[in-house]
Amino acid sequence: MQASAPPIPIQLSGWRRVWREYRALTRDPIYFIALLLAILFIAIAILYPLLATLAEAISPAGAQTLADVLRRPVYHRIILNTLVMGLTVATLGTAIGFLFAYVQVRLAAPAWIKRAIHIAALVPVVSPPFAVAIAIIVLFGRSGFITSGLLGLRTDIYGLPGLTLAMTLSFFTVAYLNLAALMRGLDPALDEAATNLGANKWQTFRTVTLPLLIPGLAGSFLLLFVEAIADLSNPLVLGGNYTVLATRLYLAIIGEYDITAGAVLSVILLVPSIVLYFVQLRLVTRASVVTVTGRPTGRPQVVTDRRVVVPLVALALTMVGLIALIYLTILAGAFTISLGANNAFTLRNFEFVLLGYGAKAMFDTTGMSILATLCAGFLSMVIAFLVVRGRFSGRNLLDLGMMMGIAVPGTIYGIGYLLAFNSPTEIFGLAILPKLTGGAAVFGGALAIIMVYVIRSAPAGLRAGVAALQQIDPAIEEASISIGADQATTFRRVTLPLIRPALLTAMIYAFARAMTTVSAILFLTTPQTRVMTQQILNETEAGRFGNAFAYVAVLIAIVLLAIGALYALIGPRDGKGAAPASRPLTVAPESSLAP
Amino acid sequence: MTDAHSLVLEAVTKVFETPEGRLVTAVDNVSLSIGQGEFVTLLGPSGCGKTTTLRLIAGFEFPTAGRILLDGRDIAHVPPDKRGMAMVFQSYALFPHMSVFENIAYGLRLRHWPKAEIERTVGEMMALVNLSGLEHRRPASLSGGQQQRVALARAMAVRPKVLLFDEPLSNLDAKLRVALRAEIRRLQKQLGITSIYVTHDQAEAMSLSDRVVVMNAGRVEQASAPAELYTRPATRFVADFIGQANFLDVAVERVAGGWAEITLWAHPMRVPAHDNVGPGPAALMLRPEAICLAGRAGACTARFQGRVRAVTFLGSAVEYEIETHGQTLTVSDREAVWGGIFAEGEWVGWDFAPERGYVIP
Repeated sequence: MQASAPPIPIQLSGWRRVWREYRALTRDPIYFIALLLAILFIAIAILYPLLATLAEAISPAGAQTLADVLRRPVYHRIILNTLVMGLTVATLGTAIGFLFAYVQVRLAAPAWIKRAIHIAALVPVVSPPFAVAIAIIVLFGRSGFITSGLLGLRTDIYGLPGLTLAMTLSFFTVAYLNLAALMRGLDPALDEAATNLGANKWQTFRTVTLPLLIPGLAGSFLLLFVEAIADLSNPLVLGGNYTVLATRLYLAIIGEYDITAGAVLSVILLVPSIVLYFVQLRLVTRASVVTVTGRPTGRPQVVTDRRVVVPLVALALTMVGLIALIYLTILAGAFTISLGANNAFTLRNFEFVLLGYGAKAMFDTTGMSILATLCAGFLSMVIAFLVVRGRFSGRNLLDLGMMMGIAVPGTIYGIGYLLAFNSPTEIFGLAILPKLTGGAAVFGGALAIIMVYVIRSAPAGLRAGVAALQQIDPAIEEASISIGADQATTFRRVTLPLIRPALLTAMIYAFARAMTTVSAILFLTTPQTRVMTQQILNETEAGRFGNAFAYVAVLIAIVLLAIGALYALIGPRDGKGAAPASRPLTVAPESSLAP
Repeated sequence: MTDAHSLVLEAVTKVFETPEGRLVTAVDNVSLSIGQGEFVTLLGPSGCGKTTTLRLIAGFEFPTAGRILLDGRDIAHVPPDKRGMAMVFQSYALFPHMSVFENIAYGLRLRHWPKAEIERTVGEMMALVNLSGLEHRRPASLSGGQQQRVALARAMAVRPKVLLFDEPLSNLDAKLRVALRAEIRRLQKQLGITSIYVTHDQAEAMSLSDRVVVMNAGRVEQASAPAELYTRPATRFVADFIGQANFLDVAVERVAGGWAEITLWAHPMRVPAHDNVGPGPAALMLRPEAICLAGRAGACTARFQGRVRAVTFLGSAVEYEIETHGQTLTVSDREAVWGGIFAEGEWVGWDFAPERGYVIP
């Protein structure tokens, strides 16, 4: 028998353990360098601008402004406006998202209706956030095509009603996608159990389905609230006299050149945004973890009762019709001289965008978006790998740091970049970055814009990458390492091919996000670097809706083309590609007996 | 077997920290010496540290203390890809995006072998595991048994210094498990690769190994050849874990030359004993098949009496629970199938040959 000594007391102090872990990482230099670069990127591109904003806000001048803001009723009004708008949009957006998801997953409806609903819900993702707002002005504004032209009404769509309509239609997609995924993940056996115990459909819905969806509903509500209060573009176009924090902040910087006031208002916007963002992330993640356990055991029950199906489908189709009307308006507007006033066909708008003044914006934006897509795609996969597979303390901070890029409202990053990078960045007197923003910035400010694109889009890729990696049996990577591949080779030859669907998602999202970003880059564009979304805003403010619509149409076309190109380049290859992400990549046990 | 390698673990300890900050000693001062070409199995219940020990050897974990010597060189902190070992996993861990050929060739391509050489070796390996002709299939289109044979071929193709197995047969059904374990043994003998195998299945461990290492709570309980493990267990845990065992309280009077003089219910006898046994109270271990019942073919006296409490028909044998002297014994009766089964409540006489018993502390 082996002599068994008493257990050796091995109690490392926390810091010594961390030191040991990181020293162990240096054994694989490429892995270590990837980690260092990830940390450096997060520190410089995400955290530093945020800290610069905070520092400005808590400076003596900032404190003075803060006291001012808290005292003056006009600011109380603005904060109240922001809250009312956020709550309204979050409520309506979650409701529409729920309606769409429920019709999609739980109702017995014809396939074409479900398809139409799905497409209608996804269109806003590929168009700039205020495309809807402009169309609403043209359709329902003071001299609106419908309100004034058809109905002869003198309505005012500017302010809360218009904002609510535009934002709800622009943002509800995420609620729809979250809730549909949750509903699909619900174990049908729960419904069957409730029915089995004597509950009718309504009772089952009320006592089983709905309670299980509450975390998802709450998560969607919070996310929409955060998006609504952070949005700058819609309030700029449709706000009218209804001032919210984001527009006040914009005015402080662009109108009054008061960057301190901007920083103070940013912090007021920042705190609830970050808190609520991470609360919703937790809610949604936990909801999906709790309910998606293994394979569904039964067939999901669909509701066939016509008294339920008909009104819900009718309501959903009305929304689809409204979305279709809005995007048809954009298309029609792009081809007319002035929709409503002079409906003559013209190609002048497209000439302006494709061949004239807009061409540079088109090429600049597309080019910067392509670069940002490559960076965001690669960065998000590497960081996902470090977060899921890494075995060092603080890897969750890596995740958190990356997520700040989207949790923080885009406008605040605009200000943060101005504050942080308007002069060369130095560490201990050593210049590590040249001047990135404002006049005489490197590459005409393009580098800063690309960085913003990356930090705004990489978080979604990170989530996709983390989810994909969690589905892959770590033994597959260990198998590669055990027969002699180092970490970098394993990542390149085994991990990356397996998470290709996530990479595709990440890159599609990154490109669409970059092309449609407004709030974060309004302060960062320079005369040398034109961005399409800003041009759209300029044309809208100047009342040249035809040009704006043409820009929007071209932008959507570019995004759709890019999605097609990405699918062709890294999408699934028939039969030879990686398994689809929806199927767990771990090899199934004996059940998969070959023919 | 000239290029076989030896592996030595010297007082290896691994302490993990749980997320709550609690320290858990998964592997506790384990020392082990594995000879060239030897097939050693780590056996134990789940959580006994056997898998952690294997992962320490593979390099997926680094020991908190102790040394791991490969051919005399300490490799305890060498990264896993530089150790020249190969592992076969419970989940097979085949690369789902590569064909069978590409899976097996993976390690060879990493080593920059010439193309022709790779093709030849992969072909040999495929033949060795009886998979020729399936080169271009995807892992997902293979059965579980085929997948594990691909994994085996992939690991052996790189000619590892040590072949590691992490419960490779656990995901297969019973029949396939038996067939594949014979195949693993055949290949290992043929290639003479030093192998370490982790399992919780004692039949697998006994049938495969030159030596079985029984682990419990992070420590080595006993490392012996399978037969010795069964007949001469070092501890109650090992006796209990390997097969079934009855333990009877006895008083040891004297120990000499591996034999103990004991008294069992006023019957003095001499029984083989473990080295750690001394005069005083001890336990007599009796395997269910070491006990004979009176009235069966062969000479079995009715030295002890007991009453049948439960009868279980197992096919190849009948298992009785027999109450005797206030204790319950499990007895395996191979004669019962043809010779008649005792009924519940019946009184039976029983005995055992002293050399088939074993006294442990």
